[in-house]
Amino acid sequence: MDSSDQKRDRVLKAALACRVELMAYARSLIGNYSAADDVVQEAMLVVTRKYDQFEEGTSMLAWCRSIVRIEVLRLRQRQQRDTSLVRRLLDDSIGAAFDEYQSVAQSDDSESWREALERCLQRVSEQGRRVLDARFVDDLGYPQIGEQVGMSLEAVRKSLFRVKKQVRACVESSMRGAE
Amino acid sequence: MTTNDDWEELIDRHMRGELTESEMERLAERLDSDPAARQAFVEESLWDTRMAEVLRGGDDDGAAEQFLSTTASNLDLQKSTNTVLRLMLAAAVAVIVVLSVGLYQQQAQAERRIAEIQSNSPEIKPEPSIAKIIGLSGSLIWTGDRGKIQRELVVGTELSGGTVEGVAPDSWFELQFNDGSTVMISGTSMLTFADAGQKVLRLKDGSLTASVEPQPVGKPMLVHTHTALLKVLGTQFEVKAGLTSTALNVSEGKVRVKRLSDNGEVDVPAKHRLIAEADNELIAVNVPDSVSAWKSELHHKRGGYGEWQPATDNRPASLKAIPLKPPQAPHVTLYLAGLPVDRSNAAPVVVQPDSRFVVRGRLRSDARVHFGIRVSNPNGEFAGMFRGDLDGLQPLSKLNDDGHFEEVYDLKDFTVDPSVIDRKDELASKPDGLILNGVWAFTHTGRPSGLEIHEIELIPPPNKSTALE
Repeated sequence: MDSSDQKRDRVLKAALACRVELMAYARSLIGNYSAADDVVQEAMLVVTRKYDQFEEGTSMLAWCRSIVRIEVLRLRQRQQRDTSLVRRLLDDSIGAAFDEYQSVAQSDDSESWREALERCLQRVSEQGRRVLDARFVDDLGYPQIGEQVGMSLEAVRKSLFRVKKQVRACVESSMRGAE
Repeated sequence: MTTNDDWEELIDRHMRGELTESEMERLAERLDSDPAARQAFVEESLWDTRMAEVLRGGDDDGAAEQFLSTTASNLDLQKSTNTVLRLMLAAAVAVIVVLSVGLYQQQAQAERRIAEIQSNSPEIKPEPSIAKIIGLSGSLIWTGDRGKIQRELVVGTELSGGTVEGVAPDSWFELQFNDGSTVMISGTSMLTFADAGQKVLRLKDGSLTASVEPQPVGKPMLVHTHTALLKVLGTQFEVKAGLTSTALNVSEGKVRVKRLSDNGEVDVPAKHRLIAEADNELIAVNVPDSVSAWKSELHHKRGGYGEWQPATDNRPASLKAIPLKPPQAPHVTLYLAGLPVDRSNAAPVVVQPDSRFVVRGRLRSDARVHFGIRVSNPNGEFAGMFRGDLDGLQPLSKLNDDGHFEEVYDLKDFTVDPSVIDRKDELASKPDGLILNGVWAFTHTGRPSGLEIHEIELIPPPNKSTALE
């Protein structure tokens, strides 16, 4: 394997390791899980094609984020959606926040985190799990979740944030215990 | 629900595209103003995404591997040897949260995308330029529509919109739209601009001067601030925006101002000014006569570039110099404090020949205190920047027993600031008779100098101390 192939493999591997972080960034720009997933896939294809433009030693995550940002704009062009001034301002603010604070988890941490999350989700009550699934899997709004699970809008909000807090506390506790 | 819950809910709804425009604006403002909020936002978005991935059952390793293999094959990755690819894929599968089954099922769609890339279709159609840079100096950051951040801007660059931020008191930036209208920001200001048939600007903070050509019927230039919306058909004006107020000076034409707190509207004609605050009367008044004396009022007004410290029993209010790396010399760290000279709240301050500037403050030890000013023409157009420190030969400021100093800068000694020397033919050669917009002082000692500004004063010659006609 020549050095070009080696670089391509290194770059793609490193880019794939950033996928969850890139999904978080794409979702925060688009506000839609499926579209964000699509955008990140597009970005990975661009990475595969343009790996030689990556300057090794610089931040892979930052490079990939810039590709994701372009893919988000491409998506909006395809959808022929005008971007409002407020939306542009918010995009800039989000970009700055991610530039400042986002980093990639170590792969071991990422895997431990995932296993802990799966374990903690199994402890959630049936009602809580229904609310989580409605919000995270079906992308339903609070009123629709209320109709589906027979709860008031306020009860849905409280339940959603209570369960999220419980799960987060459980995961963090597991991660601390594993250290 | 608590405030924290509200914040979490805002992020939760944002991640699902449920926010209204006003909620988006609130989110942007909070992110811009609060580092802790930025950090929390990034963390929360990652939590939310991890939860979503696990709940959606994104653990189908086989599907992911299959998808990656398919992608690799289509992109002719196989020649990089199957062994390495397998290793790479195995490692990737181990560390990533897995791609959705849906994407596997949408293989045909992925292939279309690959074909699109392989056919070298253009990445993005370049957005048309709406304006070009016609002047700039000092530290500036431009963020384009595509999130590209650029610090090395040059005159003549064409822009398709975005946000420009002046990050130092000596920063200024002048932009000309395709129809000839010009806008200029100076000092620590932040402006977002767009033109999709109608010019839309947002002055988040700082000072903007504009000279606007007649705009299309029904599509006035819009200038948003925190507290007001300005509608401009064709005119010259200057606006200063802060969190709680917007101050407008109109030189020519007419500007309609809408106060956001109560939707009150008023037209501001030429040679009039108006301050839009939540609790004042929305009324345009004549621009007052100019004055030739000015004194900073740090004891009751914070702002400017530096760390403001309130007065105590033992010491006056001050503005402490903070580090600044000039873009033209990034290896240098200056310690700088700067103040805007607000002409909107009071009469414009005219710099008379033979005036003197006096800077009073504290230093940790003897140091050269360099001093500069920014001036404009009476219509608000940028006129130049000048240095009063004898072109680098400024003597060391001597301290008294309390560490205080007082330095005098005679106007006759002022020279063109090096940052605008390349435009000296277009700008004023002396500040005499021009409107004072901003002042700053700095040290260049290679380490923190402890520079604190207590007061800056413009003292006119003895026979020019009264208001001018």
